[in-house]
Amino acid sequence: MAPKPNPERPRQERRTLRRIIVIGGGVSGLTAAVTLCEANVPVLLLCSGNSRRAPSLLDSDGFNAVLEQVGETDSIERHFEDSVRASAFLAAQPPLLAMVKAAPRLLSWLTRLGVPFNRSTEGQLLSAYNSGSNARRTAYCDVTTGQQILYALDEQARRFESVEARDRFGAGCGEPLLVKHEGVSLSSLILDDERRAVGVAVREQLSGEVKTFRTDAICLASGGHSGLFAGTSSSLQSNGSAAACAFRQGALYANAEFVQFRPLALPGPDKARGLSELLRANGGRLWSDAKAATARTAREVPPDERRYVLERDFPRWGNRAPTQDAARAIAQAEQPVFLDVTQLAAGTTPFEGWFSHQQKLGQEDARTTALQVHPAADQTLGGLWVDYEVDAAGALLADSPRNHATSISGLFAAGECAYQYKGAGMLSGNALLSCVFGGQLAARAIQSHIGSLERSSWDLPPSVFEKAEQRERHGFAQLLDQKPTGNSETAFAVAEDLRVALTEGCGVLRTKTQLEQLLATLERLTERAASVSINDRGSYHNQSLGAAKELGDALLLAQLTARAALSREESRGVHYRADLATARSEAPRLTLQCCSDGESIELVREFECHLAGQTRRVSAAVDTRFIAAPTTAAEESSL
Amino acid sequence: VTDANSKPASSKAANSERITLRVQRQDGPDKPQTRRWETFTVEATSNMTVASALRALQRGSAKTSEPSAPVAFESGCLEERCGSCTMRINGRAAKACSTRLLSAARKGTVTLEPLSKFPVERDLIVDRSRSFRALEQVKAYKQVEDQAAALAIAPKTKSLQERVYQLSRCTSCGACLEVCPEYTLGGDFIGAAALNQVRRFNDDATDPAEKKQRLDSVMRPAGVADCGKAQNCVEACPLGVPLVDSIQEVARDTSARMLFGWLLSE
Repeated sequence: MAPKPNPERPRQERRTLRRIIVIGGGVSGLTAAVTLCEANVPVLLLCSGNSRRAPSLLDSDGFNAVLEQVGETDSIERHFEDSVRASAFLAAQPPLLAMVKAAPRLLSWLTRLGVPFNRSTEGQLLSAYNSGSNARRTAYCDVTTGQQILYALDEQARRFESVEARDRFGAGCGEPLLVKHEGVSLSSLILDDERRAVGVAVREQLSGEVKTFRTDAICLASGGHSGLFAGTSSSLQSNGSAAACAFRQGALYANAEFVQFRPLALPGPDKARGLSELLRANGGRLWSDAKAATARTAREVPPDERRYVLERDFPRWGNRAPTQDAARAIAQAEQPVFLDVTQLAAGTTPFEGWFSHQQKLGQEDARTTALQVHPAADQTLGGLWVDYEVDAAGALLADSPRNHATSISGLFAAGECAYQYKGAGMLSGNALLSCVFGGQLAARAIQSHIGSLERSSWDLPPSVFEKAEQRERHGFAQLLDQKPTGNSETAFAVAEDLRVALTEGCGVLRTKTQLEQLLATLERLTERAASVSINDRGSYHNQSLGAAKELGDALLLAQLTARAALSREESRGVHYRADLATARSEAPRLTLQCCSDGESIELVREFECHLAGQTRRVSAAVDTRFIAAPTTAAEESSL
Repeated sequence: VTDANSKPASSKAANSERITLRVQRQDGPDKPQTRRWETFTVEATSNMTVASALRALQRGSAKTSEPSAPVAFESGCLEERCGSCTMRINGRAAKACSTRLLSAARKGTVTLEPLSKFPVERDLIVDRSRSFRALEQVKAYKQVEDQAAALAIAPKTKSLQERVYQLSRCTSCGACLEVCPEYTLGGDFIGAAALNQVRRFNDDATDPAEKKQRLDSVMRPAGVADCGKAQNCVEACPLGVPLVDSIQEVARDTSARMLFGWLLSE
C-alpha cells in the first residue's frame, strides 16, 4: 500500500532544502554560516577563494574583550568609551555597546572552538595592551590571531559539512547542513519585481560558467576594498567586488571616505607587510632621526639623536597612541620613522613567532635593529549601510530582523563590507570582534527574517532566475568580445594604475585639489577600462576575464571613496583633510551614497527603503545617546 | 635579499636583471594533451618575487616566446601567511610570494611547475580538495555542542597551548605532501598535514570517545600505517610544524588503541 500523503509536508518541500546564502568565507561569513547551522538552518556558503585563505588571516591586532581576571583596571564602559572615541563619535552607539558587552562571551566561544590564545603560566588567558587604550584587554595568539580565529571557524564550517540537515519535522534530508562552494565570484544579486533579494548569480572561476541560486536571505560578508590601494597591508583579494555589485543594484552605501591606514608596515614588492599594533602598544618605540637631512640608516643613529615621535606628540598615550593619530604622525614626519622592538626581544616575548618569521623572510633582524615603517591602507571603514533596532532605553534587540539588514530587503551585510561599528575609526583589536559579533547578529536577524516572510523565493517562477543567468552570461560574453582600440592593454595594468592613483589621491592626508585630480584620473581610467582587451581565450580559470569584471567594480568603489572624501569638509577620525585640518562640522553625520540607475553615484541626505514590513527613513544622523559628541573645537582638543 | 630599511623607490631600477621564466602549462583539467613548456622574459629587480613576476605577466609587461595568455596562478595574502601560492619552483615546493627571482635563478632561468601531487586545473593552479577532504575525514574540528553555554574560559596549561598553537599553524599549503613518497597523484594516503591535525585535536580534546573516533579514522587503509617514515615532510614544512613527531605520536596512540582498545571500550 502506498504511504498516505502527508498534507502538511508537500513533496516539493522535502526535495528542496531552502538554503540561506552566505557570501564570503572570512571570519564574519564563517561566523554567520556556523551560527545559522547551529540553529539548524541550512546554508550555502559561497567563497571566492578557499575559506582557509581568506584575508581575515592577516589581522594581527588581537581580540578585545574585558575579562574579569584583569581586575578593576578595566571595564566594559572603558572599552566602550575607547571604541566611541576611536570612531570619532561616528559609530552608532547602541550596536557598538552591544558588541563590547558581548565580547567576553564571544571570546569564551572562540576558546571553546579551539583558538589557542596565549596563556599565562597558571593557565589563564593573557591580555595585552593595544593602541588607543590604556588597559590590557586584548587576547592574542602571537601576532596571528586572525589566522587562528579563521582556522577555528573554518573547522566548524567543515564540521557542519558532515552533519545532516533535518527538516522542521526532524527527519533527515540526506543532505549536509552546510554546503560550501569555493572558487565562485558574485556576479549579481537577483531581485524580484519588488526589489527584494531572491537569489544570486555567480561565476565559477574554474569553468567560467554562470550559475544562479535561489534563496530567502543573503548574508554578504565579502570584506572591504583596502586591496585597491597601492602598497596595502591587506590582501589584494580585498577588492570589494561583491559589495560594489550590491551598491550598483540599489543598496545604500555609507561613509566611503574612511579608510584606516595601519601605521606600521614594511614595504614589499607587491604590497606592504603590516606589523601588529601590539608591537608598539607593548613596548615597541617609534623614533626618527633628530638630525635633519642626514639619510642615516637605523643602525647609524646614536640613541641620543633619536626623536621619539609619538612620545613627544601624544604624551598621554606615548607609543600607544590611537591608530589614526600614529598613522598621521608617521605620514607627516619629515624624516623616516623607525620601529624599535629590540628591547622586546631581550626577555621572553609573547611575539616570539613574529621575530622568527621576520628573520626568516630575510628582512632586517628586528631583534637587533629598528625597522623603517610607513603607513599602509589596511581596512575600509565605510561599507553597505545596515540597520539596527533598539528598545526605548537604547538596548539593541538581538533578534530583530532589522539588524544588519541593508536597504535591499533580504540582503544582510556583516564584517568589513558593512559600515557598522566603525564610524570614522576602528579601535585596534575591535576588527575581529566586530566580524564575529556582526556575523552572529546577522545570522539571528536572518532567522527572524525568514520566520516572517510572506512570500518565499521558491514561489517565484524559474524564469526569474533563467533571465538573470542569461543577462550575466551575455555580460561576460560582451567583455570577452570587447574590441581593443589603439594601445590595447590588460585589465590588470589598468587596475594597477588605479591602485597607485587611489593611494596618491586619497591617502592618510588629503586635500581638495588632490581629490579633484583623483576624480579626473578615475575618469581617464574608466575610459581605458572600456577598451581593455582580454588576452586570454581559455575556458578554464580565465583570470583576465575575472579581472576585467572586477576592474569595473574597483572603479566604482574608487569613485565612491573619492567623492565621499571630497564631500566631507572636515577632518574626522581617519579622514584628515590637510586643507581643512581645524574645521569641524557641528554634529557627526554619515555620508550616504546610492545608485538608482546602475551607474551613477548620488550623494543623499535621506533615503527611504522597506525593511521588515515597514518603511524605513534613513537619515545621516548618528545615535550618540550614551556619550555625546563634543560640540566645540575646544572640547574636542581637550580629549 | 631586500633591505627593509631601504626606501621602496630606491630599490627600483638598480640591480635589474633579465630573467627567463620557464613555465609548465596546461589549458584545463580535461586537457592533459595541452601540457607544454613556455618561456617568458621579465626584467627582474632585486626584490621581485616569483609572484610579482607572474603578476607582471598578467599586466602584459613581459616578453613571451610566442603570443600567449598570462599564466594562471593562485595567490592570496602575498606575505607568506596563507599558503595559496605554493608551487614547484626549480623542482621544489615553495611559495611564489616569498621566493626572490634573482636568488632563485639558475643561469638566468627559473622553472615553475604546478604541485605534482594534485590534479592540474590550469597552468600552476591545482585542485587541492583532497587535502581538505582529509581534514574532514579525521574530524579536524572541536566538538562544540551549544553556543549559549559556558561564559567562563577554562584554564589550559601554557605548554599545551603552545604545542597546540605550533601544530595549528599549518596553512594546508601542500609542501609536506609534495615531498612525501607515499602521497601520490590519485592515491589514497591521508598525508602528514591531516595526521598532524589528529594530534592537534586529540591533544586538546577532553572527551575520550572523541579521541578514539579520531584515531579510528586513521587506522584504516591509507591511514597512519602507510607512512613510510621518509621524514621529508618535516624538512619541507615552511613553518617548521613538527610533522614527524605528530605522526609518531598518532602511530603510538593507534597502536595502543589496537592492543588495548577492546579492554578500554566499555
